[in-house]
Amino acid sequence: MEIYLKTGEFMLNQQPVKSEDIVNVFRGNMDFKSRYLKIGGSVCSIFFIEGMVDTVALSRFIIEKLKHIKNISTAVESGEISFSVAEEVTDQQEVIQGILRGKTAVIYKDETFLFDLRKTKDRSVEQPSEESAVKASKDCFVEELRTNTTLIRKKIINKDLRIEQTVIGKQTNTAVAVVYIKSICNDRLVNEIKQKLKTIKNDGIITPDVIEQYLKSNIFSFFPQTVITERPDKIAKNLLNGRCAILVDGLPIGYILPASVAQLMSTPEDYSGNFVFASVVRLLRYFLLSVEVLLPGAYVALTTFHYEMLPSKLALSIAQAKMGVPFPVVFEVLAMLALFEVLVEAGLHMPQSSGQAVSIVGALVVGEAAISADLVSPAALIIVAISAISSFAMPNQEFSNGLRLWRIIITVLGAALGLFGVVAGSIILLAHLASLDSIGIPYLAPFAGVKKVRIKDSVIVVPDMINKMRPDELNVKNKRRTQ
Amino acid sequence: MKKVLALLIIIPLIFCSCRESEQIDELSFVKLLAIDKTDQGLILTAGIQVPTSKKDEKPGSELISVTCQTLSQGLNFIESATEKKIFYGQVSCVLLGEKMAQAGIIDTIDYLVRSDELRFDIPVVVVKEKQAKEVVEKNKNNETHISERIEKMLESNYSTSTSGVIELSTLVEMLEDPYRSAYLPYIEAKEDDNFSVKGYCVFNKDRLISYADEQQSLGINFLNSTVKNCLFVAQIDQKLITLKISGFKSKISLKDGAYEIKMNFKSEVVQADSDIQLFDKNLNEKIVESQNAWSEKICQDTMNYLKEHGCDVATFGDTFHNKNPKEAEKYIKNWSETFKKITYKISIKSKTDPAKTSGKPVKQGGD
Repeated sequence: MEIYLKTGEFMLNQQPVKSEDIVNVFRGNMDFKSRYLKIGGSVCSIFFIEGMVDTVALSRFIIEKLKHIKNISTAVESGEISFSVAEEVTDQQEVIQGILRGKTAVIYKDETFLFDLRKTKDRSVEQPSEESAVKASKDCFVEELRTNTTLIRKKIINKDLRIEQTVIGKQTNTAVAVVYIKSICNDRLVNEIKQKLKTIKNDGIITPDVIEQYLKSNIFSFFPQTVITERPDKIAKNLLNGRCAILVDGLPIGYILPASVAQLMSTPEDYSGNFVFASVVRLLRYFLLSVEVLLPGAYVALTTFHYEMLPSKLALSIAQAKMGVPFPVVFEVLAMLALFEVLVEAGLHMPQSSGQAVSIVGALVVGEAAISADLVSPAALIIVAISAISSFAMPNQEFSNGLRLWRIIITVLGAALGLFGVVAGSIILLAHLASLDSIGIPYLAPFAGVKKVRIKDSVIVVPDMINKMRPDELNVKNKRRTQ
Repeated sequence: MKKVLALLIIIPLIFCSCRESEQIDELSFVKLLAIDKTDQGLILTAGIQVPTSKKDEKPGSELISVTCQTLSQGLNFIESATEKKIFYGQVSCVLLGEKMAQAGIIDTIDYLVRSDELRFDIPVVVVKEKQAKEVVEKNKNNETHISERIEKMLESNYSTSTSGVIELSTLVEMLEDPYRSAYLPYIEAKEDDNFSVKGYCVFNKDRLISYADEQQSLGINFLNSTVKNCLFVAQIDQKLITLKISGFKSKISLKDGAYEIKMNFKSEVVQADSDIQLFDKNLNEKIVESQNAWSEKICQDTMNYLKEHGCDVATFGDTFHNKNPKEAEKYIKNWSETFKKITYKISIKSKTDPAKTSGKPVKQGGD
């Protein structure tokens, strides 16, 4: 494991290790424990944080062995202290960081060792909750960084798999790992990611958006520029394609870089079954993307400006359905869209016990009462419902959230300028997506911003035996998969 | 500051067109326009569909008829007769009364084409021997709106090809062509107040001059290569064989001062007596001979009719112009008279496919 970056203090202030200084640093912390042993006339100090250390292992493997040693390094080299994870440190800050991470510091005769006796009481690996798949693997990330890197290592048993760790956050000192396959991934990509991580100067990383903000090329964009996933198999697949991943200690997710629209529209389920069916489903997703964004705006535009484009019977049917509704079509649609967002938000925050009540109220209020009271027309409700269902069909919810906001903008433009407004809004959206990039790779790759448009494995799924080349836009070292 | 100023300018500009918008339930859709000419001026009749507030009911139907001097005046009167704004973008048929058609239609068509709401794909139909208003009024209470009935009748006429749909845009092309005479489908009211599509009526410039019968209308479709399919009954050796003509193509060419009308089509046997050997080569030849003779007769009858009235409804004049523009220009002003004197020959190539009748024929006593 290489430590390629330390926080500024570490690099500049290398202090020799003194027991008294360690005790002073942690004074007042009730979970900080110190133990002193007299061995051969010298004092051996043991420091750890209660609750993070396996005290039984500490007693059996360290304290018991310390009684008979002359010095720790000899004991470790000779195997007297046979504990596998032991590292000698000379810097006080490293000792403090190690204790904070759950390691046990042993100071004896000017030698300081950190032993990793951490308790493994973290959450066990479970099934993914947000990205479930029927046939793909059922493991997902947990909060413990080492467990997450292990999950990836189990999938890619390759000496070229690099997991390079750094520490970010002045207060939290969160461990962040950059994962990539050295023989495949472009070095420029890795270096740029490391450079961006270096620029993170804040208190720490508690929530997922912090890392994402610093990795974005445009922080004001509604769209995600990293792919966040809870699935190790998704990360492994992308690493094999030449992408990089970032794992953060304390977050049960991984970030995949660079991101692109084609990637955001794919799921692990696509590669689990028949490729023809998967291709049809993927094409359907692209269709639903346009339905989600354009349908409300187009409906408003057609019923406000372009009545001649509607077939006669449909125009009459819509007009008849709208009779008695006091509000303009645009208001109906925007109100329904807003109500939909309220229901989604309520669904996220409500306790499980009241879930059913909210669903019933939502269905009654929106579905029945609003139409009976002639507050909205059935046609507007159907249009918004179709658009809403299409948004849930998107594999990536962050991307879908961005589209939902653009949907409102395009609806307003449709109400103001008709189909011209809808088309103008779509062009602006496309231009915005084209202007984005993720670590230098165009966001619309492989459809735009690349030398050659690639339909394979973007719009359609191809079987592995045909898909022999890695994506061009990533400029990988090793283009052919079989080499 | 510049961005704020730019937004302050752009946002009002974006929303300025909101004034043009109308809510869809505040409109009345005109489905049919009927135009008649009288001594006092014009009679304009609009068939309107109005959405009702009772959602279980079908939309209501209304007829508004006004007398006016000009079309724009008439449309204005119609607008003032309703409580909702009139929308003409859903008009699916324009009916012209006989007198209107005989007086000249170019001014009417010019106004309709320049309207910003009317579509160019609206069929135009002439009413024979009656006012369009009368036909519309008599069919007012029919469950299906008259415009839909006319549309469906015109479309179903493709099975006999004795008439067809002529859209506003096609009519404009015909009127603007210096050689070509316009033709339109016409409907004839029956005694029981019903009506049917009969064939085509032909125009000299923009004035109606004659109604072609069904065979002549079929011949017009032959000349213009607009036959979709039609049936022909051949009598061979005192047996009847019904053939369906399809894949019809015709071409008019000019060679050495004489026109050649080439017709090419295929037919399929759709019904034949059960004891006929359809795959017999001799029979096949007789069928081809019979259908060639039939199509040639129709074509000749039609040509005689058109020459008699000086109506070049096909592309004879255009063919001449394409071949020799300078020469053609001499005849451009009185082409209808020149057309009466043209010589032509008809050449027909056809084939028949006996295999379309599938299944074992039913024979007496299982022979």
